[in-house]
Amino acid sequence: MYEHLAKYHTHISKYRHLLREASPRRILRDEIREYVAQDTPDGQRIFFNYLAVRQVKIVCDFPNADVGQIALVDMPGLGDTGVGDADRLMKTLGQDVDAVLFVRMPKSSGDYWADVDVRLYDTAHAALVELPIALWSFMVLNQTDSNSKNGDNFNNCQDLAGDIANKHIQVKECITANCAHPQEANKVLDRVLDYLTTSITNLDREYAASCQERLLQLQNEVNVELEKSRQVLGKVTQTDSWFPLFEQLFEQTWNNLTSGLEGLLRYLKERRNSHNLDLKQQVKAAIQACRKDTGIPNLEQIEKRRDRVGGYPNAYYEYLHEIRAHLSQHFLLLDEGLKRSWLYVKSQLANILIEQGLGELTDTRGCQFLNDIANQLPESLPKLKLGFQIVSEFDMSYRELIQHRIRKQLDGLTPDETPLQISSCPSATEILANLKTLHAEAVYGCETALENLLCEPSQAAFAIVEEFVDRVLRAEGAKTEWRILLEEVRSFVWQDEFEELGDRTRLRKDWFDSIDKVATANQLNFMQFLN
Amino acid sequence: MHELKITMLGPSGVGKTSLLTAMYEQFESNIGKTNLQLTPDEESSAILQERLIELKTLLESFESTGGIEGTEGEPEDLKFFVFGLGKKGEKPSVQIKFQDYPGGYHAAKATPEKRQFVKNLMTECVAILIAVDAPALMEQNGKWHDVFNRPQQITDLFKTAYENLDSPRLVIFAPVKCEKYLQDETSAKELLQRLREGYTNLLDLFNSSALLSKVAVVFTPVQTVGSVVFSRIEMNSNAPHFHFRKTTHFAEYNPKDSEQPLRYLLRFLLKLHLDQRSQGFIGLLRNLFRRDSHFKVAVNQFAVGCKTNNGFAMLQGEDLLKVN
Repeated sequence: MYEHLAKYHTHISKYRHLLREASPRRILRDEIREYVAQDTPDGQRIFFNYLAVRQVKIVCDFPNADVGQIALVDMPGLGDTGVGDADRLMKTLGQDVDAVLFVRMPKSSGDYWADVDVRLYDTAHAALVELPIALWSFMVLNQTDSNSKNGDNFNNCQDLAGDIANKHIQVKECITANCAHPQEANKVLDRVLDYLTTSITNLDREYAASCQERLLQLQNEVNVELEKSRQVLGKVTQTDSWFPLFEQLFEQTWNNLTSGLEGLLRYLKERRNSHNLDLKQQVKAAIQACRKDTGIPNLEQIEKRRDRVGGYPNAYYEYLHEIRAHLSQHFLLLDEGLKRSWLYVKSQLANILIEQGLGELTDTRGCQFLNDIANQLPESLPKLKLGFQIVSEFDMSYRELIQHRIRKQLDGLTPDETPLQISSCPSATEILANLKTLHAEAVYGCETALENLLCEPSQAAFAIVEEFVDRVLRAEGAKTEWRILLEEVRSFVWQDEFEELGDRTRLRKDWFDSIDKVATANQLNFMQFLN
Repeated sequence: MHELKITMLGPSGVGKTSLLTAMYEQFESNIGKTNLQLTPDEESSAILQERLIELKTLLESFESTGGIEGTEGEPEDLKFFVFGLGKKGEKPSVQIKFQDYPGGYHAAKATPEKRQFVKNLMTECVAILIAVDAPALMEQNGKWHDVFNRPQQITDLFKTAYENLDSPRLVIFAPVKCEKYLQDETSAKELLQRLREGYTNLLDLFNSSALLSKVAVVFTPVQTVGSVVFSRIEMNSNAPHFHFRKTTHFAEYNPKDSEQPLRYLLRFLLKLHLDQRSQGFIGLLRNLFRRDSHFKVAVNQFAVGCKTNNGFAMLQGEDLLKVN
């Protein structure tokens, strides 16, 4: 193996360029040798392209058109194979091949079946266990004559043919032929093809039956394993003390939950008419920004705009739009304050639930905790799920809560709505005065309107939390849903009181669900492909 | 000549003088074909003229600032505006005396003497006009209403003054600087509603069994300049500055409905005459209308023009104002 790798390494400069090219690469017939062989016909070792070749497909016309299409797969010789060639041999034999020809050229000086031959056979034999290779393989002993480089090996061929059975190399037939002669080579092929023609159906049937048998065996083995899996968590031991303990814990948790949530609700109710400090702070900052950064042009700019757009009225209307847009963008600041205050309420809510053990159901905290619980709750607990969905999906944003309510205050800066239409003899001074007044009025309007909205986040928070409490505590059947939920997750919520694994109902349920899925997929009738 | 006294309550600077200026300045154009004329006495005329000039000067600039300069007036400072009312081209038949009543009297520190003075002043008046700073009432949810309009102090004054009332009285709420809130019917209704809310205690007092049949209450929102509207409040050193602006750059002095308080007043007086009441000052009236039937006709014509919509309303005592 190391030598193989060293060869790849040493000669990389000779084949590296090929790795960068698109694959597959089409080559001419004359080039085949330099991509598949190591040596030239006269024995010079100058070819290294083969190191970059995974597979060569040679397509040519086959003179025996009546036979149909035949593919000959020439595998690397054993011993001089490249990296992964042995695996490829197995795969090719196992999946792509109908018959195997082992080709052996006995030395004329004397030869015998060596380990390497037996190993090659064993490798091929292992490739397809369902169908004995003896039924679909041939041994070809390449006979050479005295004119050949190898010399006359006829006797050696005889010896090997005679000895083959002793080596447990079982093939359909051992054929001796001079493969250098096309006619003899064709005869070999004919014999193989004849055999296949008469036997291929039987071979396929035998192969299929063998596969079916293995599949059924596998199915059976899976069933045995599934049965073991069903037992692996052991049986739930429903001891007499389990239910009373759960009931006791549940009542305690229920009481804590109701007093915690009702307490939060009372707290929010007391504050629902008071100003939200986060929002108040942001409003102050936004109004200051509005007054400081007005976007109002100076006289010179107004004159220039008038020249550009062709008249004071045009310039005036353009400025109204611009100043309005400029003004309203300052209020985007409010988003932050709104979100912060709602997040705070959400985390207060989450903390109450977490304190009652629900924190064990997820690692997340704050609003993400509420989202996770909403997602985890099954549809079979609709009241709880709805409650958690309401509270986790509600968001307080400037756009949702405020924007539309202060929009009216910007009417003065809208050309069609403005109470200050430009006079019949306009001037830059008039435009400037109007813009200043309208801007100041808009800011005042927004400030006043926002002052009225300062309680809104507190009111919204109260409303949403009350809705939540209605859904999860006060709605008919809510307590039952909590009981079902807590019974299912009791080993998480009350870890000390309930056994770790044996009683982890949810885990058990997931486990048995998975086993059931496998069992469904492993039904006998799915595996039966032969009638 | 008979003299009818009317007390004007309301903080200094709220616009009482402007109201009288507008009433006088616009009287001719507002009375239509009614054969009446309103003539201020010399001193009043000078003050009103001065105020008119001020108001018109005010209109030279696009924006202006209003505010209350809390005059702590003393009784000696009491201002009177005296008008003669009569048929056109003739000697006035009756003298109407508007008594401006500065804020100082109803301050908590008022001495018993001052209190008594105020009580007498209010008791001897046939009508009391309460000038209401409309922006203070309306803006920012009325957060400046108590500070500027002092509704509770006014209520307390009436509690004392209208104790054991022996004859009918007219109370006129006159919101001023209210141009912004009379732009349409909806905002006018809101003004009316806010007035009711802002003076709940006082209205409850008038509505009490002792006063219900004796006190007529009307709302007469007067646009004392007409072409100037409230713009915004800006805080400066924690003090509110009320900004006003003209409706257009070339808008001119154009008061509206400034004669309405007077119409209500005369209508009230006429009704008292028709009812043949005779207590106190009413006896004088009876003589007045009996002697001068032409004047009575003119007053009747004038009185029927009382508005009762777009912010105007008779809150109670309709019977005391029913002339036809």
